[in-house]
Amino acid sequence: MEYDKKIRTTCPYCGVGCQIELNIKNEKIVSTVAPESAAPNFGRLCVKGRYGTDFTHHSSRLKTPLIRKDIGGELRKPVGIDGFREASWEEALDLASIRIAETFKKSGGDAFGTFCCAKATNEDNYIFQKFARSTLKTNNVDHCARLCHAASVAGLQKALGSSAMSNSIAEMKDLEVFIVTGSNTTETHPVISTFLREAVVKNGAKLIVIDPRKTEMTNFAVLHLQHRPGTDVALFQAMANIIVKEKLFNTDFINSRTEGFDSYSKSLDKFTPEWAETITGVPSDDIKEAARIYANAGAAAVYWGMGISQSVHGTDNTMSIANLALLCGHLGRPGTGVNPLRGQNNVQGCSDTGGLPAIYPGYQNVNDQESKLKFERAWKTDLNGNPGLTVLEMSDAAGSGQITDFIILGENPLMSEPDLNAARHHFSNLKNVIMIDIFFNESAEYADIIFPAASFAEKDGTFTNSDRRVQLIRPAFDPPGEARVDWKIIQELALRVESRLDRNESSGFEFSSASEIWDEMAELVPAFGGISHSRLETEGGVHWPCPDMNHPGTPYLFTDTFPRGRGLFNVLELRMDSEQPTPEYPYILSTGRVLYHWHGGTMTRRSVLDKIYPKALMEINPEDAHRDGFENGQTVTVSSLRGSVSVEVKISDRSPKGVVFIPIHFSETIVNELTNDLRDPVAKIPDSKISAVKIERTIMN
Amino acid sequence: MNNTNEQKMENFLEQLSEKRRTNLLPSLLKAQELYGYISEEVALKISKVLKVAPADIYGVIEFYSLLYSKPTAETVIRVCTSPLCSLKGADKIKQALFKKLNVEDGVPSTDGRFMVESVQCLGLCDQAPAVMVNNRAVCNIDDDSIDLLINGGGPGSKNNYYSDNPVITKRFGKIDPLSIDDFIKEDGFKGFFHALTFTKDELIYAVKSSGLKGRGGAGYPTGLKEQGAVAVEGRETYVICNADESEPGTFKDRIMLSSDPYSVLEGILITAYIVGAKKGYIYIRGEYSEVHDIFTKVIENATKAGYLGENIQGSGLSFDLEIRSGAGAYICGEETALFESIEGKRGYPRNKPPFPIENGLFGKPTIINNVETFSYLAQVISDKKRVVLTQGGSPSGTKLFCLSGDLVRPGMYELPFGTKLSEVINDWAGGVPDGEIGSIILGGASGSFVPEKYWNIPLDDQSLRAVGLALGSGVIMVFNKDRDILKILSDITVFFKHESCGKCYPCQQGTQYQNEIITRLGKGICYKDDSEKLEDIGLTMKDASLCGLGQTASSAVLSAMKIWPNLFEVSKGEVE
Amino acid sequence: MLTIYINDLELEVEEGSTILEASEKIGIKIPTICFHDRLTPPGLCRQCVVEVEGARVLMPSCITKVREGMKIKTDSERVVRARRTILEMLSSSTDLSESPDLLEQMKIYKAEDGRFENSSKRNFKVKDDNPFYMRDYSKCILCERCVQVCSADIQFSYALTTAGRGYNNRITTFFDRKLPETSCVFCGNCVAVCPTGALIASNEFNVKALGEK
Repeated sequence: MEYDKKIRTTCPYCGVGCQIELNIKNEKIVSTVAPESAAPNFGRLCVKGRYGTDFTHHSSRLKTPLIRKDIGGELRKPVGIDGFREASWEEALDLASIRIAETFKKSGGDAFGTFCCAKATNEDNYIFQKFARSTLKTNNVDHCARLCHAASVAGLQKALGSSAMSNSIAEMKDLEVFIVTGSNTTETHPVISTFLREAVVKNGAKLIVIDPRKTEMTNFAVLHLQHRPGTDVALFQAMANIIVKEKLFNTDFINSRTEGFDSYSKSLDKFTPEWAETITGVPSDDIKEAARIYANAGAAAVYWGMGISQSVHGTDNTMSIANLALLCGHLGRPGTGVNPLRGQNNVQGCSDTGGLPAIYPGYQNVNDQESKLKFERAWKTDLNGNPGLTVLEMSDAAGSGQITDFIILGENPLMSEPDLNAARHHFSNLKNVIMIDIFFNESAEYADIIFPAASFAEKDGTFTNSDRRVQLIRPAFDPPGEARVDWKIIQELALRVESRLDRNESSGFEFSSASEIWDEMAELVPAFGGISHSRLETEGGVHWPCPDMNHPGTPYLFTDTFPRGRGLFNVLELRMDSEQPTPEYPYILSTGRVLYHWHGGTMTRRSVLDKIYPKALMEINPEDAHRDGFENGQTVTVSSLRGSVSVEVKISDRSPKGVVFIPIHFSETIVNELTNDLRDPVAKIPDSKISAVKIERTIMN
Repeated sequence: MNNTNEQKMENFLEQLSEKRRTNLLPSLLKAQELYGYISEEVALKISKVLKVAPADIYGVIEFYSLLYSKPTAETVIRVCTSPLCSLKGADKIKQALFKKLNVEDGVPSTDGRFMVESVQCLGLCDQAPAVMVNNRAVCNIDDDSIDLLINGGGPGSKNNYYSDNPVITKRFGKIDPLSIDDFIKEDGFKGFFHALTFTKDELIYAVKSSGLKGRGGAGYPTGLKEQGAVAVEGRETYVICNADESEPGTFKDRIMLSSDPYSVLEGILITAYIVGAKKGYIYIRGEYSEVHDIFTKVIENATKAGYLGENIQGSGLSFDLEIRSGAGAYICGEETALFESIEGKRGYPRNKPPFPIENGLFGKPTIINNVETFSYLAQVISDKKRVVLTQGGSPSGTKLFCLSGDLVRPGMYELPFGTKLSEVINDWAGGVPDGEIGSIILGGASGSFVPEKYWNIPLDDQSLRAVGLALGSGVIMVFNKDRDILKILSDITVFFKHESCGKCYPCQQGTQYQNEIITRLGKGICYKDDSEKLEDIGLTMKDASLCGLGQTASSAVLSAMKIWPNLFEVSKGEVE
Repeated sequence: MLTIYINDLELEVEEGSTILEASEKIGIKIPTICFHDRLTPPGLCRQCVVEVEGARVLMPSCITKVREGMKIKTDSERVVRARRTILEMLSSSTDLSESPDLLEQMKIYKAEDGRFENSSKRNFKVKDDNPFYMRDYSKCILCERCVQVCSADIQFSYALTTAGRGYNNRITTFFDRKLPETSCVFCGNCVAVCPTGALIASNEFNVKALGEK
């Protein structure tokens, strides 16, 4: 059929960053295709990218600013959208700036907790954290990456000094050996999974899956090590034990590129595969086989997802993987690397652009004097040199009254945080909650003022995908009603707050385009120096680091050196800090995603995608189901010490015995009612994959 | 589901040495045998064991005529409706069976006891009309034998063969076909032992200078094939015997393999020795279950006697031969489709190049020859002192001819190249009973009608090629003067429509439209541009089809249009 | 480099290139149907056949590699007859109304729409068994791109297969199951490569139906 226009842009879902073309008719998306010559997806898409962009047209999109009817009241109670009234931009912006200025004057900058957005553009996030840091003088800036890859970041920072995926998506189809662990790649990164399967089917690559669940990728694996949840470190250390014992390591690499090998190799003595078998439940021969396959490969890569990261041992898990890569020298070459697969379209970019409490854009530490000076000069104001609080710490601080104001860009903490009972309690304690979003979500029930923002299809800007490729998005139509582009909302707000705080000199929010915002950031971040919107327009995408206009970008990292100099072996101990099943709570609950939905479900539940997967299903092993008398389609109540939800049973051998799986996307079955708030000591990430639960038949009235 | 069957199926899958796709067809045939069809449940079980996607399995089931995705019956009666059986009353037999058993074509009776199905050629053209009752052939059926065949009786098949100077049929009737001792007593394996005393190059030279060409129809020099496969030494190589004959008019593999099977094995062994193959297959068409049984014994005996397996007869050659059964698809006689079939796929022919000698079965160099070719090869090498010449008018060069149709003595004839067509028909096969020759097709359903002026032509490549004819696999079909050419063509075009794999457009579409037009013409309805249409379809198939099936599917029609143009033109105001 | 002759024009081409690639280089357009840049060419539509001197049959240019001294005719009488007849047969069996490329080719080759009688025209009910895309197999020309994409060329989901034989070939699923009951993950990569509109996004189908009212 004839379209009015075709708009080339970037998919708003997972971190693969697929290039898509929206076919537009009468200001609506009628279908979505993918340009065949464009990296990273080369014409491939998944169901979400292909069919799931219709959320942009959903009738529940926010169209005018909203102000809580009982704003200023004593007790903050959750209210539905009926608890809000429509307001003009002028009124809403004024009111918001007055309330923000009030708090600042009364309690100072650290009374603010601000949430960047892994779904918004680099430009939106840059201006948002600039507002927090320069106008509000706080480093309490974080985003939901804290709840996903914080441990990957922490672990890789320690081992290598850089936390991004080290190698590119383009290399995947040519892999020789690779490990997929803690990642249901087929469902969470569908297009990447096609390249990984292509490596197996067409290139004869050997795939080792290390996962408690029998994911679809296991169909393509030569080995599936199905370890008990939470025993990752034991498994990877045992592989290292064999590699050292059988001298399969890469001596040259260890000598020239690493440090700490001696103490590390000595520390491995006790981690024998036979010992690991007792901990992990994986036959020691399989562990040995996996170690040999990985170590003997010419090039081998590791890919992981939430299974590694969302753990009370997440940082250790990551370091145990990095240890393996350092041992065998599987870094810095094509087809090697350590690769955390990012879950959101711009979660990489959100961190890159300073959406973290300890860093300015470009991973420049806030407590580093030189970096601080640089940003103070650029932003023409004094900055706070103390690292701020993380997402969960901000929530805690709200609970204790230390933080009174939340400013939230496009996030939904009351869906994504663990132990939601506690989190909601913290939220109700706040004095002022300002949100910018495209939908009225679970967190909005606690807001005072909500600004209607633009979806990915209504604005300019860039997303940075999982393999550090910066790509453009382009507007296909206007935002609905009076909704505005995010960075313009933040700009207006910042200017008004600045003026209410009587700043002599503005930190600079007078941007006239997203491209100008990028340019300011690129001047401050060396790794972005060679990237501009106009270059992306011609080249399609560039992998940072890219220091200057003549630099081609960097598809794989660490060719000659690591950001920290030498790669560091980390001596690890097995910790078993997760909640353990008890006779009363005999099952382990694992949470995660399914193909047809995405994260909090704000977008996918408002899409045609919801039709094929309309409610949460709890996967349970056939033996467990049989023993405990559960049947397919039956509704059960799942409870932990913290809460309970009701959910439908799906019997499936994807779940190992003793483990049930419930997806995270459903507001009718909010699985984070059940999860616990145990956190990794370094990364502060919650233990989302392990909670002890019991399952009971729901008694119908 | 029957418990014992379930157990048997499980055991079958369990004992498979290779649990991968190559065993798909054997597994499906096993399921078909046990259950009478392949259910979703069984297909999923096979999918799990062999790691083949369920959809792929369904695609395979639906490709092969002998595999069913819906229940059949205890007794399945397959009535051959190909040209020769059709001429001899197949339709009458079919109707009688439908009536007697109260069934429709291809639909099992309500009690599940009987199913009657029209099928294409069963390779019993010299004993037409013929049917298969489950695995048993019943031949020369007349009104009396219909009741018999329902009750498990009726005349079985025979091996009709004739020669007065036999080369590869010389042991026929003299030996017990299953006895390896009988075979050895009659100079069996002499060629193989001679081969062991030659170098590979000498052997290839001998085969090349013998003039031996493939006897399956395409006529590619056998020695060149061997040379080609040897050239890619160092790689695993396969030897395959193509016994998937399914073309109307052809039945020599059946007779050869049930009369002197070891001679074929000998040819295979010599080839394996020449090209250094360790593994081979003999692909026997699914309808030949008797031949399948015979060859199973042959392999058993040969293995026991040290002619298969490790270090054969102390020669250093180790070679295993596996039987693969077809499942009802003529196209699998096309060599690359046959590879696909062994690999467990739909029998789609591949584009060539690459050719089998570089990239055949499982992507490895492969020598694939016809049954007759292998048997002849053993003869070529059997005399150490001289190379046995095989072609080009040499008195010792013989060919197997399959004669069928309106003849006194239809059957298989081993005759010297150069024997005249009329001589073969009249002197050897006894001519047309009570009548005259009306038309002759040379080369089978994919062959051409022979213009009357060439009825006396010597049957050798040179003479035939000079007038645009081809011997093909040596089929001669003879029709008396009363036979309706359009009816013959209708049956032939039905055959191709049924057997086209459908991969390439010219054949997928062309076989359909060609048959539609011919069938309509047969009903006396003719449009003014029919011959133009038939010519466009025919030449498009001939020129542009992917494989030999499509390229020859219009030969009979195009040749008939030249000889009897008026049959295809509007006349006597029939229509338009 | 090899020297070849296309329509008597001498040209140098790289070894390993196909006739199709070589022709494109000098601006000779050879029509294709099943060929797709990102898929293994199955060489099944035979629309791109050309006449190569010395070859008994016409050669599919999408997969035939050039050889030194090869003499190629891309528009000989035999070639044109084959292309025209293929189009005429397709248009007689299949609804080509949403196949702009094929309709264009029919014009070029002066193919007569529906020239052959259509007693067996392919007619199927539109399959609407999932929220994402529809399957209208009356428009399917069996190029098998969707099967390729779904299996070992792109997606490795193996939900689709060709079933049947010959003219009765059809694209389907395991035992003709509805798509949600198969391994289909609704990536729509098959829809993207369908050249005839047999596979179409449901949304687009509905928008179109509305527009036509």
